[in-house]
Amino acid sequence: MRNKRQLWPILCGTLATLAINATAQPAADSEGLLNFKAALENHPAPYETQIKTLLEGDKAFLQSGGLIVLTGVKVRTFGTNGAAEMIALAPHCIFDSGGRMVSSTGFLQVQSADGKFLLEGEGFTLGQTNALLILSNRVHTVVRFAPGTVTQP
Amino acid sequence: MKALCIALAANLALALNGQTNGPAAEPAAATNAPPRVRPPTEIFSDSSEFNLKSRSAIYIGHVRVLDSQMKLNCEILTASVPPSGGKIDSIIAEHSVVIDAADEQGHPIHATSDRAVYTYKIEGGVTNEMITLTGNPQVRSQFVSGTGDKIVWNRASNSIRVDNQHMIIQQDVQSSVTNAAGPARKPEPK
Repeated sequence: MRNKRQLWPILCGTLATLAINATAQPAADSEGLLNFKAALENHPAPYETQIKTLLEGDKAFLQSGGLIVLTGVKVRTFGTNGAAEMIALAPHCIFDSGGRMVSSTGFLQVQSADGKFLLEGEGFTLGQTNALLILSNRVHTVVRFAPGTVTQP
Repeated sequence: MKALCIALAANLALALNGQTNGPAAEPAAATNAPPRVRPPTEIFSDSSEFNLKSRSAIYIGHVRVLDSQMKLNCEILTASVPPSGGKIDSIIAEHSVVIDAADEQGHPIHATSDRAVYTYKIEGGVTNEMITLTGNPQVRSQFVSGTGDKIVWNRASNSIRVDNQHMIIQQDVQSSVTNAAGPARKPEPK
């Protein structure tokens, strides 16, 4: 078993091979890494310094083949002004750093920042390159309407 | 038939697009009544795909749309938002489309078709908003039933076109009730 001090350079090396900005801290109580963060995508110019999609995990566990198991997962998207647009929550997922893909057999909940849109389902794949989110089972979407939106008489 | 289709199509568009042609909520001060906030719309399906670049969503398998104004069942539901954002510009319901709604008087309306398409676009400052039912479309209410090759409702002009309309049945409510109850009774002596 690798200890946290051995893992840290491996993570840095792994992440250095990725075209993403990622950070994490060695965990205090296990070989997992705490507070994993990876900027999956930035906005195009002229907002190229603004993060568009940020992947976060409470803990990260490095696997072979460039895979990273994350727990306590958040995927957040931001507008060009840095305002939050969407947040996705999952108890766990696998981040394929080479294929730039996030997937899980578990639950996923996506909610817009304004609370008008909620999406949940079980089993998902989020491909960064094709920008495709696939929910495999029991998909449930809720669209809420703005105050003042009335029912048709 | 026209009123039936209008009510049905209106409910379809409203439910899936979150829009309303109803009047704006009256100020609370004027009525002392709370505004009628529209309940949320829910969509259930076996699976779904969201293309974050093209801003489109595909719901697949046992799709159910539950809305305060209608229910829609189909096998595939595709919706897309233009790249510029804003209003949904296309909704397509396919395979075993079943729509249950109500007209303005609250009478139930039931419609089936193989395909229902809603499109919205603005060209040259002119709004085009169309709903088309194809594939053996059938519309039925308590009083009227109708079929045709294609039922097209232009929401902007509020006009309905039914291609090759080949059946309309109108039932008189009173005679229907009388027939169901058996032979007509003798009138009461005055």
